[in-house]
Amino acid sequence: MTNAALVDVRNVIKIHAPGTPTEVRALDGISFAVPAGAYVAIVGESGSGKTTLMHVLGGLDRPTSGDVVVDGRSLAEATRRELAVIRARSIGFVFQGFNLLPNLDARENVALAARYGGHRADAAARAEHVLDEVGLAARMRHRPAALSGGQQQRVAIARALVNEPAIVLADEPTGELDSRTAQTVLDLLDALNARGQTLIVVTHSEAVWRRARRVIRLADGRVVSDDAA
Amino acid sequence: MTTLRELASRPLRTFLTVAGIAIGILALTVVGSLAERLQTIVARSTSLNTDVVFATIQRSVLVAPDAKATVARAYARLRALDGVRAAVPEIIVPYESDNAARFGPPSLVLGFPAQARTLESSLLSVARGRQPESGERRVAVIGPDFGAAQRVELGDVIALQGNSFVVVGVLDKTFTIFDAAVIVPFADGQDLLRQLLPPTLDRLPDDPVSAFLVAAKPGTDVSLLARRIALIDGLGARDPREVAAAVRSTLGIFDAIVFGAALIALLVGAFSVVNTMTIAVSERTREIGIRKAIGATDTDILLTFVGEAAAIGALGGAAGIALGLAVVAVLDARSAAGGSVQLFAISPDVALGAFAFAVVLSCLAGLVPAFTAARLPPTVALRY
Repeated sequence: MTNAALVDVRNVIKIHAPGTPTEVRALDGISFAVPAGAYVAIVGESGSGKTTLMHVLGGLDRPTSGDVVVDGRSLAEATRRELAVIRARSIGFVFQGFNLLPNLDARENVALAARYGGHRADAAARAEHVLDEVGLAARMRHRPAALSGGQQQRVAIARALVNEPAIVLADEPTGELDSRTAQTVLDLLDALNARGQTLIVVTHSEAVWRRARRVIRLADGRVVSDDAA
Repeated sequence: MTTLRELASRPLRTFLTVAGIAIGILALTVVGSLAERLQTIVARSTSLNTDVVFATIQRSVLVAPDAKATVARAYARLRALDGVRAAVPEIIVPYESDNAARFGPPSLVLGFPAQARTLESSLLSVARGRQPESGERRVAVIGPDFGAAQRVELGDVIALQGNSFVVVGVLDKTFTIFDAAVIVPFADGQDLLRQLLPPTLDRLPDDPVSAFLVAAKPGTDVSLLARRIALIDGLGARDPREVAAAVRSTLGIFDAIVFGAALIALLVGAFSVVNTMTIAVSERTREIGIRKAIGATDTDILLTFVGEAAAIGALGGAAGIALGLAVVAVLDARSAAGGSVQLFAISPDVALGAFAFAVVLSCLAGLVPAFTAARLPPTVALRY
């Protein structure tokens, strides 16, 4: 790991259903490092291992071998509870389908992440602050069903940011948005990176990866190219 | 609030599950309050009768040709017994009520001579009004439950077998049969006893009695005294401790049966909680994945679902207690209207105990599905 690396991926192999007829080698010796403040796009065809890599990077899944070090902490060695704490405090997720909880309003969705991140006392205040930053001050009490797709994704981005994580991982962040709304969301991600937020975006959309400053291309679970955009 | 909102988002299922718990708690509350009242009655009766033995005159003696001589001999032997502080005659006749439907023990008309009041001061003390004066006739002191059931107040006139009696006093509540009784002067009680028997069987002695109230001297073994009284020709007596023990034993069996039935009802409710929470975990698998992705620990997930199960238990418990109070109030009102003692006592212990039991049982019922949810790998949950 280089001294400046915020995320260090070390020869990660991930095999799904090992030893069974349906065994799949989803990641096959992936290594790369991401310094703080980077804007990295991970691209590849469907089935190339992008989503598995994102799950491993985000501590949602463990590699079969190898390690991922995020902000100085080894994910391979972390316990289930430690992984949860890393996910809460060091990593912010933005999903393709927004993944907001339907029975909570925008502020409660964001505040829930703040509470999991250890900010129980000021969770609501933090939520209001980040929602204001993403331009949703007037929609805080709206439930997801009452928000447009773009607004829902901005709530999801606010949720990812509320604990001031070391990295934000976004999985096809514009996958369910029309092109105009997608531009707005991508502009927001650009702005976040411009003020120093480390971003790793998993996508197959050229419109998205062209915004990144570095593009890692996967094929069959391997890194086939790693270029500055 | 979030927990209640989650439950409110599935109103029918939540209602049915809460109803399941409520029915169990309703049953538990009703039988619990019944048991509470019976325990109180038994405990009070036992504590108020620790030095008293009721010696009854055998029915066959009362209608025999030599009844007067037999009773007089028995009375003399009774008073001469070692350990007897005092023995006073008493009259016991049933109160004839127009109300056919009734709960609990029957109301009685009791005739006591004045000295009985000093022997049974705790049972016969008046809360309002006064005791009959010496030699006074056709006056009555009523128990509080009798007054409530018959809507009789101090100063009213009541009819006992067609005879008018003026109510001059109301007894303190003792949770014994005295609560539903009418106390009349001894001579009036004798008249009532004579009227009860058909003329063809009227072999009662001139000075009839039904029983003797026997007060033991301090330090006397009351059980032994009861056995010695039972040996007197024409008299019967039961060891008050034996009676109390038998009642307690019967009460214990009764408690076990009714509590068992109530627990079964509640367990059925608990299974509905398991079912509801299992469905909830299944339906909200993706939500569990989202929560884990944004940092929820296994404990957070566990507490989320156990919290919802606890809320179901709390709602069901509160509803069950409210329904139980209503049922008990209705039954007690019917009981009072029938001239009987109140059968139910809802104490804070019963209510809080039932509520706590509902919450704890629901938490336990929710634990298995909650644990399943907590252990779900986030990537598996997010695929749903």
